[in-house]
Amino acid sequence: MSFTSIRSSQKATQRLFDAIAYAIVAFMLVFALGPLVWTAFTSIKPEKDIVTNEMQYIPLHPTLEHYVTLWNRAGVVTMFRNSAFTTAVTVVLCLLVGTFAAYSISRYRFRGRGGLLTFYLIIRMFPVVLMLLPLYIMLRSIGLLDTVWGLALTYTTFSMPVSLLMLKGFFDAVPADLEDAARIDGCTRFGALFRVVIPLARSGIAATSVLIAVGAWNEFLFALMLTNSDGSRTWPVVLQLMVGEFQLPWGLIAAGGMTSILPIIVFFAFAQKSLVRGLMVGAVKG
Amino acid sequence: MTPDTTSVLPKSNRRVVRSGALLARFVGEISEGRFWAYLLLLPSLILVLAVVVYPVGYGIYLSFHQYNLLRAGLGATFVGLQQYIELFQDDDFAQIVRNTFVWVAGGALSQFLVGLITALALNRKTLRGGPLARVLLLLPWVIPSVVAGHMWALLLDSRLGVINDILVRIGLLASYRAWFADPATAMPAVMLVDLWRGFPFFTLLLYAGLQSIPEELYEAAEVDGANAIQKFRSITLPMLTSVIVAAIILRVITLVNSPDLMIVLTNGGPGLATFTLSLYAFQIAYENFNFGAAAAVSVIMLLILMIFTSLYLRFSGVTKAT
Amino acid sequence: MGFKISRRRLIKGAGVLGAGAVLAACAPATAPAAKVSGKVTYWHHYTSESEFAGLKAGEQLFAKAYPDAQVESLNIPNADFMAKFTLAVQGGGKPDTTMISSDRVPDMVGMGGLVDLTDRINKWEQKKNFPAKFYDAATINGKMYGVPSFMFVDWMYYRKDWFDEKGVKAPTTLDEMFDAAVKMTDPAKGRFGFGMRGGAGGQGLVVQVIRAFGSPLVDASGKAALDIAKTTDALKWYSELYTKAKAVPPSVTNDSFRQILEAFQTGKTAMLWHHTGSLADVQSFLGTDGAKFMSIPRPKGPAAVVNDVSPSYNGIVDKKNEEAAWAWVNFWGQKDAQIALMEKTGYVPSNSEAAKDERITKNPYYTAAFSALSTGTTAPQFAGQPGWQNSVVLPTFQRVLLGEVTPAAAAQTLAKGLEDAIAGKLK
Repeated sequence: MSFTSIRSSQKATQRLFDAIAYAIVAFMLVFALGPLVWTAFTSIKPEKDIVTNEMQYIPLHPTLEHYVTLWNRAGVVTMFRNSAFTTAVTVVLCLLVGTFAAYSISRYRFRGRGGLLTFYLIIRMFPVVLMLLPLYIMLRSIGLLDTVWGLALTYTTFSMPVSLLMLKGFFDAVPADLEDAARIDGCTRFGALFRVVIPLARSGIAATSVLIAVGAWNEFLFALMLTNSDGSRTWPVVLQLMVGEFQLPWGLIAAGGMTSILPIIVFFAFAQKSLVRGLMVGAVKG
Repeated sequence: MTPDTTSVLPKSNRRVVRSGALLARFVGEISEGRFWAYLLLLPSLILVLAVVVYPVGYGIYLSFHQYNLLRAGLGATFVGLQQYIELFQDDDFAQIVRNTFVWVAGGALSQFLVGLITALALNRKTLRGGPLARVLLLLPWVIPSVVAGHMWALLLDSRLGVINDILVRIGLLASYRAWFADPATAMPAVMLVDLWRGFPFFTLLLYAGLQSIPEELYEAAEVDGANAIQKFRSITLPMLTSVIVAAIILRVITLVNSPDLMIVLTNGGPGLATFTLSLYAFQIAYENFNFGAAAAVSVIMLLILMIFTSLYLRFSGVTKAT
Repeated sequence: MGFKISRRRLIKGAGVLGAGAVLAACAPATAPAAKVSGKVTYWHHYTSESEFAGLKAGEQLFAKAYPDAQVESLNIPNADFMAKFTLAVQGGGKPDTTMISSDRVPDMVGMGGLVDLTDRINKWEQKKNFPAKFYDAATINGKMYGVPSFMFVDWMYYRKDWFDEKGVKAPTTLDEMFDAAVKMTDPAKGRFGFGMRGGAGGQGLVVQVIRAFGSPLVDASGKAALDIAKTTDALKWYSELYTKAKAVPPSVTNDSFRQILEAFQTGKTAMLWHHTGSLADVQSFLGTDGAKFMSIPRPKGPAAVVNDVSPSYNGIVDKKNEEAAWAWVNFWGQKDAQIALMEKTGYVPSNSEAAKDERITKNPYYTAAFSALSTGTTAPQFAGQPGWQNSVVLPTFQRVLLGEVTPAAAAQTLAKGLEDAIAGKLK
């Protein structure tokens, strides 16, 4: 058996794997983006080119009318801002609370430690339908009903177990030796958490924030049920309100959909670097 | 040997520490105390106890009572297990549970597999354009479900649907099909939409997991003459276990609890073909206002999830690793 | 301008045709009785641009008539309206006033969500302008809970050009309709006789067919009274349009309003059951000159003509600013507000003074609706009805369409479900 023949056969295998990888990624891109491209086309077609007998693949009469209608809808800007605010507050609160809890579970051995994580998860499992009424009453009694803060608090509670699970994995990956070094140097435990662990896990924390942010950005049921005025409603409510009883304005809904992924694309464009690094360092270790 | 702390501390963090020096010192002292581990847990415990425990308890309480909001004056009458018994005697309920099982198990598995294959492909170091592809592949997950649902209703529509048009053009179909109107295709069609929406979640997490596997392990295996499949089975899968378990549990919880796609696409129909427990609970509560029965369905859903999670955690052996 | 009443044209034409109405709008017919002030919150489920425009026009008129009062309106998706309303009534934070679609009155009253308006309506000088039956759906145990605003009148659209082409007359009975549906079906052209709503929202039509075959839903004492034999016949007739005659598109079990409208708009179906609310949408595709399609009353059943008139009501939920709330609620019962809404949306006014408007009386499309003011029926209402229709009638009827159950078995299921619904035990 010659050494070079193994090499060349390995090369061939590698090339085959590369081809397969490209094929998979290409196929998945078509699958993932096809519907979005169609949505984009739909958003610039006049209604009569959407509801038609002649399938129109390329928009023949492109128009921005649906975007104009969307823009002119009352409160659209406020609700977009509310969504951004709620999402930001949720991410911050969730990370803060989740980090403390995840760190505690990751680093300390105490009784009921394993059970606690399960408990948080179980709480998260109860169907939302039945929680609406008690939650509504509670938020009202503390004056947070119909506020973006109330929404953020609710989202935080419901995302916290998930972020806890993820963050714990990321903290597990930070070697305890580094922390010990800082402690020897006079850091308190709290100091070590902030000066060593969080900086090292920051990319994992970024990945967790994406999970939380997407959840908060798209949440609809709470956003509708726990607010009573346009001043505190969020973007998904705007989208749902386009669906009429006697009509379905395809173009408008498509325009709304395209608009709602815009900020996320912008976010990814900026966060791409730290995110990718986060995903590399991280790993969720359950 | 003196450890060089400055190398451990990023500069920006030093400034933060100084500005909040007093608070930090105070908290720092507390952190040396015996209860530090518990104090860290306190905020999350308060949050969960204050916001969620009461509603869950209230739901469990209601499930043993007959309580209809349209007859709120009658109050909640204790009926013991009656509502559970009635549910289990109902033929429709058996089908709804079966549907839920298909929807959850099929959904989680298909999304996991597609997500895993995509993550493995993205993980090829030779892949060019990887960063861009990773962002683009996440987009379906980001789009709000209202829009996703309606756009797929349009794509698969029996008159306006472009997918029907394409299938007819390439000769796979003789004429447009009404995918959501046929009990044989309604559930697969809804699951396809959820696959589109859900696979990026797995891709994101699994890709993160793959990236964390040390390269040396593979190199060592290569030296031992392992082929690709052997490497996958002996290195990749074991190293990914904890990610896989976490991701599947999170996804299963979501699948069990979210009726939103069904509401947009089929409303549970045709007949009961796509009717799931979450839709059932929502309908009982907010269309029939029978909160007692809705609570019973919710508790059953909770039990199913709890049993699944504990069994799954035990058999995957992940709890031991912690 | 012919028969046109498309929304845009209505707005433009207001100056020509509706000069009288516009003048009237500037000078409210009735002076505000009491001085009202303060904020009134209002929940509604308008969604379309034209509906928003109509609401806004009404709000501006109201602001002129009551300069010291402010209205803050909130729109809620129709599908989630009852869930939201339930939370507010049970958990606090109720609106002052709300829009009430007629089938929801018993449920909203049942949960204690509406204020009794009997005394106010009896003293109201506009009361006489409504046929007595317009109050029926908002009356529970002799108490009135809502003031009628616009209304939806059920009717049927048919493709006049196709019928003429085949020499078929517009159907006046269900039997004629069945025959016409068979004749109009032409698979080669992709045409079907009837665009049946077998998906979401189709439940109400199934119940209407049951009533047309002569079965009551509840008796005078409020007990379930479904006639199994007649219900069986009704389900058999209705489902056979699809199962036997194949005169309905195969997508029927998933066809909600959106699909049946699009099928009619794009020339796939010859007949369609709906109500006045969709006229503008149909006209935008099939023209306004009466050449391609026409609207006619629903065909007669073997036992009865069921051509429902469903007023949309407004009612008071919270009494904390009752005078202003009443001013707002009864404002939408008046001519000016109803005309303003009609100008934007084409929705038929319920106030007979407003319904005399030329744009309604002289428009041939509305002939079918106008007669319903006197002859139209109103659907029986009882607490739990929307739930029964949605969670029992619809899936059961779908199973009949799919051939999973027989009409006779389905009738039994419906009867059992109706009993549960009335007892508040429906799941």
